Order: sequence, then structure tokens, then C-alpha cells
Amino acid sequence: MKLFKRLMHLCRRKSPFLFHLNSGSCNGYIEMVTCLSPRYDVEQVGIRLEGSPRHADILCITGPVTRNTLEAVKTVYAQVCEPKAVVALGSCPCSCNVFAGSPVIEGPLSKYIPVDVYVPGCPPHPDAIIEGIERAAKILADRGVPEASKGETQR
Amino acid sequence: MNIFHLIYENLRLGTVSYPLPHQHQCTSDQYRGVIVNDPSRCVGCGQCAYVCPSAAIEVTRSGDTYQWTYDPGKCAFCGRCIERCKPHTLTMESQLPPLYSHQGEMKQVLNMVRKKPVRPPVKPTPVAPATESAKVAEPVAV
Amino acid sequence: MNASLLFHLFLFPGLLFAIPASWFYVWGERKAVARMQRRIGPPLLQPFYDFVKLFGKRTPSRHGIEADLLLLWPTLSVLSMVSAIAMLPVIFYGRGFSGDAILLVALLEIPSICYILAGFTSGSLFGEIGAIREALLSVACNVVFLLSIVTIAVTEKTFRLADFSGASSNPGHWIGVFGILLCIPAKLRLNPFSTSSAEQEIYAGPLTEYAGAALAIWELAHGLEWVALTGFVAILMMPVAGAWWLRAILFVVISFAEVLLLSTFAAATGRLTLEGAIRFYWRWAAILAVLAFLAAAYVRFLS
Repeated sequence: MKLFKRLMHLCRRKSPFLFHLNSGSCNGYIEMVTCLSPRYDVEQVGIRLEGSPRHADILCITGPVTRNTLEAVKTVYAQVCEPKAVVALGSCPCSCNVFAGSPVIEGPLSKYIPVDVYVPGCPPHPDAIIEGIERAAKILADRGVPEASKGETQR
Repeated sequence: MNIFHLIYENLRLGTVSYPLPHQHQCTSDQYRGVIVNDPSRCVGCGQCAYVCPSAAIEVTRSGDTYQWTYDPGKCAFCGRCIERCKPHTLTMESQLPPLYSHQGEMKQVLNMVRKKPVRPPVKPTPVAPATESAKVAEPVAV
Repeated sequence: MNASLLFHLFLFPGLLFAIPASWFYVWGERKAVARMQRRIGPPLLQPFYDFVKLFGKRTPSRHGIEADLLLLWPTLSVLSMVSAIAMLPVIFYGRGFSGDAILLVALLEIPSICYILAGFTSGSLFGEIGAIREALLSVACNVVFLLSIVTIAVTEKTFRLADFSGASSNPGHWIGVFGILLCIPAKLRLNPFSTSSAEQEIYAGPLTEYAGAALAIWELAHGLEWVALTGFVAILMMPVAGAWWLRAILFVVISFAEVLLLSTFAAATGRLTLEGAIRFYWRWAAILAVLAFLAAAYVRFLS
């Protein structure tokens, strides 16, 4: 049993699937797309950009949470299956950056969902993004599946 | 058929990826990183806080002391504070800003005492300026 | 249960060979595409890590028959693929019955049907769109596929798998092999025929609502489809005579060569729209029909 737990820990660390959610950003995640390009090539460490939040382990969110995207952020967070980790990419989800105090910005991301890694930068450097995702993969591998089951919304 | 030629060239030329994990960071010395303040030169004028677009820098004064706080999580790395700083005490690191896991973890707080101006011990006597006419007026020694 | 059946079902090319081979072929495709794009690509054990990790995810709770149905489709795909792989006559030739090529074709068709049904029963809009696309594409692609099988069978005058496998000098045989190779990218949902599982375009297509263990079984079914389809073409191209270990090695080598060939076409092309893909297959159906007729006439009048 212990061997299986170690194997699962290794596999969770070595194959993080991402889902990217844009909550009102200026497309600052364009630096995340360069991570998939031949120069950085994160497929070497097993990172794959998935099409559905249900397939993903790590939720990468960019953009300050605007009023229109607040419900979407909460819904998509509930759709990602345990164990999961959240990475706030860029300084907008960290702290709303220059948009703080605006009437249509609902505030930094940590007000609504628990964030595991903050990657500052405007936009963040691809090296920082890769390090943030690897750190999040390690966090979710250490976390395992939590015992108390939260009520997850269907669809 | 151009694409097959392209694929052949790609296979022949090899990969261009950095093998991960790589230790060096791909930044030049002009990279815009985290702001660093030199406490020995900062005078607490607050101009950096005034021009900061995202209110990452705050300067509060109380009596003789002033506090300079900076949150890299809010910083947009625009460099306006450095352009505006008269005593040139603010500089930017040229490496990537660090990642963190808790909100407000990376906040820097500097408490500085207002620097008193240094007064000399005695009032200095005015010294005659060494001008051309003064030199000519002196008698030429034989 | 004779020993050769058990050997084929469980050892080679059955379960014990097929599952690691599926991971190897999937890795081969990803690595080849990466190298052709000047990237490094995933490490060798990456499909294994993905598979094990997916079993550790907690799936969302579903009510009623939906949970059972959602698990039924990938399980049916895996079972049909393992049976199809076990039917391939790689080592033992004496088995099989007359008409077992038709059974093989039916088994190879089941994952596509399960994919469509998974899209419709998952209740998500993107699943329905993906399922509609897959249904239309598989109708077009199956015309070419069945035409190729019938060409091989008619020119070899048999529907028995053991009799028409093996390279022969029959022109109809090679027309059929070419037709089957044309269909494989659509069955495996590779570029340029990846419109039904278009990544990011319709989220994840029919598999949008899948998570955890069911998704792991779908990935396994996809890998086994690689093994079955490339293996089918490999036994059509291999020589009949030879020592058993030589045939086994040749089977794996030819299958992997086909994996590399298909990866080259996947890296070289973009995604065709549904109309473009259907037009492609109907055009080739017409061309292959004419060629098959000529090949049948040649065999009939010259033998």
C-alpha cells in the first residue's frame, strides 16, 4: 500500500494537466502559450494543456476577477476534480494590479478560491510560469485527495 | 510538399528547447524585476508612492520616522518610481520576481528615521574668491 | 479453451503485450511530432504516469443510470479492442473460422460507436457537437474502410483472416492496404481528421464530462486502437512463412513504422473541417472503387 502511495505521488508530480481560465485578463497568458512552444517545451515535464476542466489538475487563472466572470471562476473551480491546485498567473489575480478599486473588478482571486501559487509579473516570464506550475504539481501531489468530500456541483 | 521538406530540416537541425529543469534564467541586465530601496539614501519624499499606478508603494510619515512599504504582488514593474526618484535610491533587480504562496508574503517594510541635516561646528568665514584681478593686484616678487 | 487461444488473448498479442505496446505507441507518436516541431517531447514513461494519475482523481457524483453508462462506453471499447488484437494471426495460423475478417471489422468499429454514444449520453453541449462530428466522419470513413476490406477479400477469394493476411502479389491486396491506411487517421482522430475531438475548439469534445478512472480507460482504449489498427495493417504486409519469433519482431517493427508514418502526416497537416474531411473520403471512395473494380477484373480474367 505504501508503494502504491509513493507511485501515485510520483505520477501526480510528473503529469500535471493544466486548464487555463481567463477571468478578464488582457491576454497576459500569452507568455503561458510560449511555454508550450518549442523554445521552452513544457511537454518535457509532462505538462499538457487540456480542453476540459474535468480533465485538469491545475487551474491557471489570469486576469483580475471581473464582475462578469465571477460566477464562471467559481463554477470552473468546482468542476476541477480533486486533487487540484490553483495558480494565479500574473499580478492581476494576485492583487488586481492597476485595476484595484475599480467598480467592475471583484477583487483579487484569493477572496473567492484558495490559491496555492502566486506568479507575479506583468506578464510573468515563462521561466516563472514553469516554476510556478511545477511547484503547484508538487503541492497537489503532497496534498493527495482530501478526506472530507466537499459537495461538488454537477456540470 | 514544402512541409515535408520543412519537417526534414527540423529533424536534421535538432531541437531548440531548453532542457528542463534549467538553472539559468533567461533575463538580461535590463530586465525589470523587483524594486530595491537603499535606506541610507531614501529621504521619504513619497514621490514613488504618488506616481505608482497600482499603489504598490506606500509612504507614511509620523513625526520623525517614515515607513516605506512595497508589495511585489501589486507591482506592475513599469519603472515610473525609478524615473521619478530624485535621490536615485530606488533600483530594480534584474532577475525574476519570486513566487509566493500566501497573499502579502513578499511585502517589504522599511522604517527609516528622518535624516537631520548636518551642520558644521563653527560658522565658516567667507573666503575671498581667487579671481584674475586679485592676482594682478598683488605686487610681483623680485 | 486451447492453449493457443489463451496465449493470443493474454500474452501476445493480447493483454500483456497490448497494454505496454499502447503506451509505447502513444509515446512514439507524441515524441515524433515533438521532434518534427524541434521540441524535446515527453519522457518514455509519460503515458504510464498519465494513466496512473488519472486513477487517483475523485470523480464528481452522478445520479441514476448516467454513472453506469458513462463507465460502460470506455469499458466496451477496451474489451472490443483487446478481442480484436487477440484475433490477429501473428504467431499461430491454424486458428480462425471462415468469415472472421468480418468479425474483426465489426470489433474495430465498436470504439467509434462508443465514442459517439459517450458524447450523447454525457449531457454536455460540447459532447453532442463532438458526437455529431464523429458520426458524420465515421460514415464517410467507413465507406473507404469497408471497400478496402472487400477488395482484399474478393481478390483473395476468402473472408478468412488467416488466409488473406500475409503479403501477396495480388494488386487488389495492396489497394486494400492503401485504403485501410487512409482510414486510420480518421479512426484514431489524428490530424488532419481530428475534427471530432478538436482540442480547445469544442473543449474536449465527447469526453468533456469524463474524469478520473473513466477517462483513464478511454485513454487506454485509444492506445489499444493504435495497436489494433496498426497491427491489422502489419499482418497484411508481413510474409507468411518464417520462425515465430521473427514474425513477432516484424509485427512490432512494422507497426511502429506505421506509427511514425502517421505521426509525420499528423505533424504536417492542419485540421480539416468536417465538410473537407467528408469530401476527402468520398473522393477516395470513388477512386478506390474504380481501382478495385479493375483489380477484380484483372484477377478474374488472368487467373
